[in-house]
Amino acid sequence: MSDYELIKESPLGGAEHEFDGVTVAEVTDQSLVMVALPKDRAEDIESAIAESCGLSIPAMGQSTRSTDASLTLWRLQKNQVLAYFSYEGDDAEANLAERFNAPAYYTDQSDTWGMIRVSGERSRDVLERICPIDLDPNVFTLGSVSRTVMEHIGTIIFRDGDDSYVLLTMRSFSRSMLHAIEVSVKNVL
Amino acid sequence: MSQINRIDGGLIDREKVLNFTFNGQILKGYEGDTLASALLANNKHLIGRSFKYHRPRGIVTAGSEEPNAIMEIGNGAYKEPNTRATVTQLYNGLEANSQNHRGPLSFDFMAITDFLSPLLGAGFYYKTFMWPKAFWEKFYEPAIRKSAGLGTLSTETDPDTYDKGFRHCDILIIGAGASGLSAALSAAESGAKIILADEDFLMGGRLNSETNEIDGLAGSEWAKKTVAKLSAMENVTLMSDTTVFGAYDHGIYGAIENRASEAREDNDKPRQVNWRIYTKRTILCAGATERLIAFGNNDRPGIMLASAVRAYLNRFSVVPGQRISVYTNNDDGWKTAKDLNAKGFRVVAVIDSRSISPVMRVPGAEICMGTDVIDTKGRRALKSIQLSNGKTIETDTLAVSGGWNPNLHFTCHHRGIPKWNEEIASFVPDSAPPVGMSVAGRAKGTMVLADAIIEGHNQGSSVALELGYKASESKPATTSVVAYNISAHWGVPSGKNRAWVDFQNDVTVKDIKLANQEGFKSVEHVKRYTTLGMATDQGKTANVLAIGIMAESMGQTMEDTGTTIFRPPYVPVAIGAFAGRRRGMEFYPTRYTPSHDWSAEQNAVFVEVGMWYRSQWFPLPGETHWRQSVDREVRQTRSSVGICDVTTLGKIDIKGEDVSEFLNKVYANAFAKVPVGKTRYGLMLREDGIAMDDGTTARLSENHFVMTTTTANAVSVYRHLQFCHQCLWPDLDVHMISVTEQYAQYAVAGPNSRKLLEKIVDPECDISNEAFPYMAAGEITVCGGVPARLFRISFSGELAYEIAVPTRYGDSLMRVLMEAGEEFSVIPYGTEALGVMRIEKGHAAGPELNGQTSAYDLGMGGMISGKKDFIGYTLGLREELQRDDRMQMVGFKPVNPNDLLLAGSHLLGLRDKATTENDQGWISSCIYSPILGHYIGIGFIKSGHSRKGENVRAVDLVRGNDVEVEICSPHFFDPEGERLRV
Repeated sequence: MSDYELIKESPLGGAEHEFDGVTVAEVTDQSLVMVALPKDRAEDIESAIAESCGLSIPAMGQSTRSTDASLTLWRLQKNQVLAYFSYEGDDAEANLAERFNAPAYYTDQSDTWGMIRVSGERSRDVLERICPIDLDPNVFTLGSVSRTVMEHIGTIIFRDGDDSYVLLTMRSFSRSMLHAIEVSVKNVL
Repeated sequence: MSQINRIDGGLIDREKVLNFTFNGQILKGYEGDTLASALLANNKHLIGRSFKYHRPRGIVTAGSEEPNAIMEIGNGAYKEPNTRATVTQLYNGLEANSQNHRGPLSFDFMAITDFLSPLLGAGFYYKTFMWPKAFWEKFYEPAIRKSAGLGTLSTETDPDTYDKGFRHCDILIIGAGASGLSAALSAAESGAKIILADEDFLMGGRLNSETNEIDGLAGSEWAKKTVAKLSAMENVTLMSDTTVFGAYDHGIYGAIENRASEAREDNDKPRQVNWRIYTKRTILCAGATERLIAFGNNDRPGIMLASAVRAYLNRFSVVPGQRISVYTNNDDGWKTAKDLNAKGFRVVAVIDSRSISPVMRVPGAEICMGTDVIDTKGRRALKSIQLSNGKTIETDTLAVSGGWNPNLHFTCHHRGIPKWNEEIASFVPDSAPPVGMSVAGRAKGTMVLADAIIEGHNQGSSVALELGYKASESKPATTSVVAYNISAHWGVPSGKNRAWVDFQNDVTVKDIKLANQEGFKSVEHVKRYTTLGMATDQGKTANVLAIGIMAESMGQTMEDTGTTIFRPPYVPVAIGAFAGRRRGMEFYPTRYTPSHDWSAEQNAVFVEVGMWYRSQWFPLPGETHWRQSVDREVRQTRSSVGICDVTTLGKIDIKGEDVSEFLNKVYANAFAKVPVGKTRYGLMLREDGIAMDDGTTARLSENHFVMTTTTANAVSVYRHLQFCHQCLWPDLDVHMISVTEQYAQYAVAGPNSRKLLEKIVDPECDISNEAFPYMAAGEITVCGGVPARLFRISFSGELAYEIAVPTRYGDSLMRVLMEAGEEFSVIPYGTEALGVMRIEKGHAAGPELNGQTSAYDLGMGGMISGKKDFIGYTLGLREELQRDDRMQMVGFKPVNPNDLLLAGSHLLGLRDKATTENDQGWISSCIYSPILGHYIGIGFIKSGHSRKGENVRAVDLVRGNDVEVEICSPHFFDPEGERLRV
């Protein structure tokens, strides 16, 4: 037993703010693991993931989600998928590798990103002040995922609900991104 | 009496009375007024002074093109000069002040310049201020600057906020007049996603100012009904009070949404929003702008555009005068007389330059066909006009129409050149507008309203069809066909009187002719010589008139004369709106390290490193100078143990079967056989053989490496690796991703570093010198099972480690390390102490990896592998890079240990003068070494490696320092590296 204990902390300390028509909340219960797809093993990996989790590798900019919604695969690059899944342990990489049982390379990215969910009926009005991509519900459909830049910050945006979006920014930028969203809320609502 | 010029009717809300001030006088207006309409309602005709001659000026237009009525709005820090009163929506509490006068508006001391006008023609600056030369900076320029310029700035920080935004649509329709509304309706009915933007706060364009009937309704009613219909459609976004100001590449448009009145009521809201609108197609329905006719003294307050008189009359219920006359060269001007009659006002005279039959009967008005106005009287307000037939007519308002210019500016933003259309005597868009843009209505030169509506409707429908939507089934609205006949008429000979072309810049017909006479034949040259078409109105009422005068003067066609290039922005846009919210701390984002909060608790002094905030040093109570803190941090680290947050260094996880091969190609030194559990220092070169970056790369397992980069090059190295993989060696099984932010990483350095780490590393992980020697690397656990990575590497030259944990534990690890290290008197150290220790060790860093130095220059030539090919190998063999007399990195120490040595000093021979020819090199990094007790530096000097022991001078002329230094090895401290390996 160690004399010392390390206490984990999310990038934004679990920040959550409710406004009239918009809720801004840090996502703290999800892990993110990069699954690299070696060229000559892509088919094996796809079939292993299909067999273990019933999920297919999504098309570019899209996602596939398990029936219990606990695991979502995002595709933002040809040779990799990102697994976004409900898990809070320190060993997300090993956990996923075991779950997939696929001959891919796994790299934990859970602590790389600060994740903020912007949801509510005015969410798009707030996001259009910082998000250059088209969030029209018919264009950025449910499950769409995209990589873009918001307020000089490289950002991944994922639509996880009708009026709900998860923004991922490198952890060190989290406070700036939360501030950018809050300024938008203030300016719009 | 308040609002003596206000009449019944109009599109204002009389229930909502608004108070405002003009030059301190409290006045009233109504909701729906512009500042200009409210001023006219209050009989304020003299509203400012002209730029150059300080001539009394009045409101000329009712729109965006206004040259005269530009004012300072607001007070104190909120003051904004040069605001167009004609497009400023009136709000309660608005404070307006006239500008460009010394003394009261009615008695401007600077009006003396008007009497000196014979001396101040076009180009007088260039001719007058040539001699004596010395006077320019001391006298002429200050005097000109004091006199010139419109309005004054508060010189305080703008307290208003601004924002930006992004919108997307299938079709952007610019202008919500008759054709724009028709286009929007038919396009929206097809299902396309529409944005309809209009610069007016009330959509409808000229329909709100005219009396046309559409589909049996008053034009303004039809517009209101159509706007309501569009507003109810989910696929339509209406953006009123939003001026599209520029057409950019790829169908992107800039638009400025003005929310000034809203912002005044709620100071927290942005005053303007700068929108970037992404479009697939655009339909330009920007209408047309009426122009003036140049005649003697045509600039007096009370002389307005005929269409403006109708706008004030019909929309704002303001009659600008009691004795109104009309002067026109086209049928449209007559509508002003007709509308005045319809409201019960007698028109004094209608003067038409064309020798044709009167266009209509105007009861009670004197009709003068084939006649011109040649002069006017009235200093501060128009009193009379003199006609070419010898008559003088007493009149207080003259409504002038010289014809209409299509607002085709956006069609030229990608270099389209307008073409001349004789039938409407105006320029019309050419066939090469920005990709995706079509034009409808008056902006295209379709001057008949009925045709403009059909054209808008058809364009809306056909553009939607092109985009794959179904064609609209609705029919265009109908209105009676009223012909537009015009005979081009630019100016009237004015003799000694000045005939004004550009009111805002005080450019006269004579100025244009003078420019032509002096050899300025191109319209672009004339513009710059005379200042025609510059400033806030960009010559919207002046340009075509000037071109007409130029063409006549030079005996050439309008087409041959051509227009100047129209460029964005179409209207003035506040710099604040371009900056948006990016001010102060929001200029760019801030990156915080995992130990930031803890460091802030220790009163750390932070430094910006790119976007990162890093701790520079940690002052203790009683330390009054940064050197005290830094020296203490260095001594304590070298004598016991110190901790530094090095999370900002780039970290890249690289996995795959071919990573060894990949790294061997990327690094200049050998990497093919790095054993698992080992770290190796690597030097990366650019393709041209120049050093790019350095760092360490550890092999954590057979197919898993982790590379570190410098903080500054974290992104560029990752990009370089991606390029190498994707473009050079795509067949290699290599997968990489940044883990810079995944791990919080701390350097734990000093003789007690191992003892400290042993207290937190789980017992099953042996980190003894034998089990975990210098340059070892491995995955361990700490504090009872938390995964971590440990690297035995040292930047300080001490026994040192870098320990990394998932960033979620970063803050906690710092606190734990400090707690566990108490028995060793552990201290945190910042980037300054880090820098001191690296210079004491002679490690090259940013100032040395400056894009000019090769591995040989840096003294690392021995590392270069001759047994393999790698990036930079071939070009690194170039003779020039191999020469012995290149600038080579060495150390420098002052001969007198008490001397101050400064980075940036240049190196000279002991008896050489400080000239460029004698420059032998420079000191790139320099610090005071608390261990050695004197300053030391590293730098570059010609043939440095072979000159150790030689003395030279380090000279800094800027800071006045000149000291004798000895060239030495850059490895000042523990050159054998014994402390690293204990």
